[in-house]
Amino acid sequence: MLSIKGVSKSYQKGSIKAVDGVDLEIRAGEIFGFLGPNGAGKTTTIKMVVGLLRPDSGQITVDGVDVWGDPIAAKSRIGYVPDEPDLYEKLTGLEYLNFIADVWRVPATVRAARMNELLDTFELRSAIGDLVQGYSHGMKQKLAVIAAMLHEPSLFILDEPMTGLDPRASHLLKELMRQHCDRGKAVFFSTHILEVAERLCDRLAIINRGRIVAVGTMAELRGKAVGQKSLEDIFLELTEK
Amino acid sequence: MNGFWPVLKVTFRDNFGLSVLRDRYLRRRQRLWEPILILFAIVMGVGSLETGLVFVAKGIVSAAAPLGQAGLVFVMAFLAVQVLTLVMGISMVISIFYFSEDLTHLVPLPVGAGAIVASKFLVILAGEYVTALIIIAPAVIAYTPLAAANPWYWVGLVLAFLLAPVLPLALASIAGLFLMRLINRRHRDILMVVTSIVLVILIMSVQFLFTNTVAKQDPAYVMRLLSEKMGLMKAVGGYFPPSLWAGETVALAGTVAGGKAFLLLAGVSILSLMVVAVVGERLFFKGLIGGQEVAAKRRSVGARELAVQARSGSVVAALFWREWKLFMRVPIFVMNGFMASVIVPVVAVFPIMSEAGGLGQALALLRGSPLAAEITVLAAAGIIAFLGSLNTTGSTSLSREGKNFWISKVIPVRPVQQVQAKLLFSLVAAVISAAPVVLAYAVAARASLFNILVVTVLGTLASLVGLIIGLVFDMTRPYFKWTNPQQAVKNNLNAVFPMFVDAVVLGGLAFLSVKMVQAALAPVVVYALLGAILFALDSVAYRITISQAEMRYNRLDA
Repeated sequence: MLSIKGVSKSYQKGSIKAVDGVDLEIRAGEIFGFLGPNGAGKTTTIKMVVGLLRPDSGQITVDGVDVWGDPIAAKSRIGYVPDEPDLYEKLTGLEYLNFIADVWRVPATVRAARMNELLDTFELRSAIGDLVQGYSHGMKQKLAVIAAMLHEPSLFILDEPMTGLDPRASHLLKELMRQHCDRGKAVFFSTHILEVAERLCDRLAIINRGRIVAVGTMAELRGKAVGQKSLEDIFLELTEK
Repeated sequence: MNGFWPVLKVTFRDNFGLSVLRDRYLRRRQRLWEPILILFAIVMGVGSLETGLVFVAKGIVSAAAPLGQAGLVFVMAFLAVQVLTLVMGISMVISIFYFSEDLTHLVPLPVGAGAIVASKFLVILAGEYVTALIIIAPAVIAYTPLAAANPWYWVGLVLAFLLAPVLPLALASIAGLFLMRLINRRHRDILMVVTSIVLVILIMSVQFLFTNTVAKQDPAYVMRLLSEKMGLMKAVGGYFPPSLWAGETVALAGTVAGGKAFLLLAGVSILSLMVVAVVGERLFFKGLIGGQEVAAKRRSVGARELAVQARSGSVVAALFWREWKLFMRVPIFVMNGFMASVIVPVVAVFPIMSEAGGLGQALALLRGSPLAAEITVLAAAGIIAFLGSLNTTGSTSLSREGKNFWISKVIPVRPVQQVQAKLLFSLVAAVISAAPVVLAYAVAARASLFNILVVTVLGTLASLVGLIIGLVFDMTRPYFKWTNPQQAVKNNLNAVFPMFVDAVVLGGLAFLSVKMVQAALAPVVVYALLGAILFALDSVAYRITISQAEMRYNRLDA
């Protein structure tokens, strides 16, 4: 579903390597967690996948489509929720969703049904006619999730999605991610919350200083770190080096 | 004022990006070519403007010096500074006082409203000094040879320069504070735009009524102006007396009269600052809270209603309406984009209708000429083109997206299509911008339908040149890191550079128009030729923009 091969990205004329030769394969039907300490390269990697940053080298494909070779076809397959839900403050929630549905070419009947379903799921119907500027951080986050799911993307990418969500919304989002994968699609998300990653993810990758230091299922990761039991222990061991 | 200095320091750093600049250019020493290039562009752009202004200022000095009234040049310069500060001040005050993102950090601080208002006032004032410098410098260059030996001249000059924008900005601040306190209900944005425009028109109208009265004085009055000591200066300063005081502070420096003028200017300025502090302390938070209350209303949309509202549209239409809503719903963008286009023709209509002022008399005279229709058509189109060159709609197209630009990068729409939607919006903006002038032209010149059409088409085509050039500039180096909408326009050099390019193009076309009229070409031929040239220029500019879109968008990080 998502293939990242030898991707690197550096800043300030190569003096700071944010991402260094990252290789990852995310398969259809799986939830893939992307872990790492602050500044490890998670957001930079995600931004390269969704087309916000251009990699210095390497290749990224979604459903076999090169993200930088055929960006429109690749973006059509992606739904993205950024770490900061900076949405158009001067549009109403509904206007924003309609805009997103238009540019992703979601037919009218499908979009109404999807909107109704997702607005009820995330309990946002009561504010959808308001300008986004009046939303709380959590409400903006919910709107960003709904917008990203409107076109039922093959690949659902979320950067720190639980930040700002209340426990109920967080639970609903996790359920939504699972259902999405059950329909044969993939979820790729970054998080700091190790318990969420441990319980939700089919596979995980840990990135540290721009390099992937571990990748696999929880069982595989435990196998690599002898004597270590929890994901927190594994994470600390791999990222302290 | 408790906490004033820390708030002032952080407000300056945030508004002018001082910390970012120091980090980038002094600590990291990155992109050092940038400030050099920007400085070069400013010197080139402002330099050409200054050359023209120095020429005018020298003319005024040489004409007024034999009458002993060379100080007139300062009265006029300070008048320009003060009127500009007053007119532009209201939108700036509203934006920086009430719509800055730093308010979320400042308001919870244990400081009074007065400290926040005063800091923001000084930030705007600092920006005004840049504009003031551009206007005052030519007067200084022209006048200094007459007074360089007088040390008091330099003291007076510095004091008058520092004090000149204070009073008009204080008046704009008081108006802005009252306005925001009163307008805190629904439709606040649109009310703010309309009220600001009405306010400025009102100020201009009062001004006009006053000067119109002066203009109707008997011919002996004119003689008195020329012969009486400081008569001309007093007449011009009568528009806004503080400009006379500022002018006298410089021109009469070292004399009792000069000292008196300074004391008047300083006293009124300090008094106005005190009023701002008191009004700010009482009204600022109330106006601010009013805005938050509006945003907190909840509007639910039921399933059936949603099925109706969730209608699908084309991609281009979606992009166009995004541009439209995100522009029209931000009062600062609307005021910066269209204020001049509305105010100039409205203010011009007064003298035309009364036929009392110079403009009215000129038009009355013109009506009798065989070239009347042709000249008025070209002049009206020229005014539209000039106002179009001041319109920042194109040159802030990408910058206005700010931190939301990531959305444009992730949507599955080619940059070319996105740019086309922006150009379509610019075209609509050009037509809207042209409408008041066309209307004023139609009324004042009692024009035929054909001529109205010609004015609209030529004016819009000419405006488009600048709007498209502006978009090219903005694609090359957009300014995304603004924290209030005013910065996206006012602190954005992309809004300035295209004006100079546009000035050259429009200047060339004006020259060509004069030559064609002198060559006695048939009006239809003149219009057709100008239309063809403008269409060709627009087409070339359009093609350049489209050919750059993909590459420019891909290079931009979000």
